[in-house]
Amino acid sequence: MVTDAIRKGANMTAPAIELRGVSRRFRGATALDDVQLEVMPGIVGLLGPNGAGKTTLLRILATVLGADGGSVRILGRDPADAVERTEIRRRLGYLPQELQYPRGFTTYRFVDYMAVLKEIEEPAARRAEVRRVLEDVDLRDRAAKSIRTLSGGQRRRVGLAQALLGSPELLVLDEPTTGLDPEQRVALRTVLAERGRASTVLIATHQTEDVAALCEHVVVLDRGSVSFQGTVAALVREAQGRVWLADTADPRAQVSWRTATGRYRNLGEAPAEAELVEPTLEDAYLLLRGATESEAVAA
Amino acid sequence: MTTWHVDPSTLGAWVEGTTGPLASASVEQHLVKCERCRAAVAGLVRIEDVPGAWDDVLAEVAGGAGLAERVLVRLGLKAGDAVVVGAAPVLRIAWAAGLAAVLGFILVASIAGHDRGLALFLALAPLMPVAGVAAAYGPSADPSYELALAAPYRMIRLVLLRSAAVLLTAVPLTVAAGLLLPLDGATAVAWVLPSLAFTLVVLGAGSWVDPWAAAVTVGAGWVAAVAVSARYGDVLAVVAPTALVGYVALIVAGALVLALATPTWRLDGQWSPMQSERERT
Repeated sequence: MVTDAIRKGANMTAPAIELRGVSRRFRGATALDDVQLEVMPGIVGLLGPNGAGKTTLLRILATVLGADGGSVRILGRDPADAVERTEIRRRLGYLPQELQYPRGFTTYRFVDYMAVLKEIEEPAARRAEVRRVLEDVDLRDRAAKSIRTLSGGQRRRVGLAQALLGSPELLVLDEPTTGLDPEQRVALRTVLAERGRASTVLIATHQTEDVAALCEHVVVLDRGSVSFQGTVAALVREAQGRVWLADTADPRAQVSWRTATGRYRNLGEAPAEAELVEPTLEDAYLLLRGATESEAVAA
Repeated sequence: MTTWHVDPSTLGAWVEGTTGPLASASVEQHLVKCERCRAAVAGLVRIEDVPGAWDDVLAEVAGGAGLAERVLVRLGLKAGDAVVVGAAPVLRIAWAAGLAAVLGFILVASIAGHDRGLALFLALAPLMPVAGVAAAYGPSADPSYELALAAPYRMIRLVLLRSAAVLLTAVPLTVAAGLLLPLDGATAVAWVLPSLAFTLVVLGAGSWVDPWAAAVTVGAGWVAAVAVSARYGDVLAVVAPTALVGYVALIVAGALVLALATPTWRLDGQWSPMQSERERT
């Protein structure tokens, strides 16, 4: 993997993504507003509620969508420039949120087609690369099957396989674990962890446990703006001293829910007769969300 | 157990794949029965070739390259480009079947009534390739369009390759259908000029609008023109010599626009704000 990075010329010390004041509007609605973001190589989780602008941000980073304002640099290049955009695309793997496949294609044929679009022209090299990525997502025994006959999780993995083609310097994955069972998710984490050592992997997800298990850094997007960026540990630290187990749901808590043991997990101020517990990433994320929501109400 | 064995040089040539078909068949027949020669083969196969051989088998079994793709490679197209052309939905059976159905309908109609059949043929024939080209690319035609866009392969190359494939299938078929009609030879092929002109207009307009929108606009205009000339005069006016000069001019203009717009072709770039308005956030 280290040799991989050298061969591909991945720069592990410069930021892979730099956004300054990036905005994007759709039909008058603001999807992204003044986004400042700096992402270093490694695995980065992108969290945020539905409609926060995650998919818009990822499509801008995948060079398929332009920004309305601000400056975007991806792998040190400007996606608004045609030549530099192609250079970014040569180093990019992208899994869109919703991916539909051409009708009648087998798994192999689709990944092979994508390998051609990624300029892996030489037939022997292409065959070896297609086999490699199908093995990475554990789909080699489904290579000859029509994609239509695959299960949802298998189809998602076909999409992942094409994203991994050519060992890209930047992987942009929009909810890669949707539809995967727990074992497949663990297997996927292994593959992505490996990639993260030599490249930048940006994962948008609703699964805080995926972020906790995989990512060193996390970005939280809320209503089109970045509400947190830093290490996962730093986000969890912000929830330190604010997560309580009590026998009842505390009305003053930002969020509270009944756990499997029958006690209530309360996030926020200390309820009466409560036990302070270690926060998880999910606690920290919910607290951050609650804080921005009450700010919005106050404003 | 046989008493003779394949000599080492022939066996070596067979492993390399350089023996002719007859010698190969003979060696293979022998290997099935002879353990000693099989062992000799095992010694000749380089272990590093095995994964490659496996890749080839997998590609052959699972790749499912269609007939069109194989023919294109035989004709000298690069294997990768043939994959891109073969992936176009228009080159599937449905497209050929649809084309054949429309042509059959025109033939039946023109046998039933000559003038109306002629008008129908002139209205529809030039639009066959236009529809095929519009369906060959773009967000409304390609379900994995966004992935193709994020890949470094030039979109203009993809579109031109697919358009060429569409023209190569649609034009000869439609010309053949035209020759079956009770038309003079010139009229039976004259429609090819407006057809090429409209195809180039759709491709050239691809820098600004969705190919389907362009194709529908051009198609509606053409059908109206044919209908008007059939109603108020001679339907053949749309392929009269002066009109043909106009189509040639349009072909030249379309080709120029395409050539000039190629470096900044919209479909190679990012989605324009106008187009992405239709997208979710």
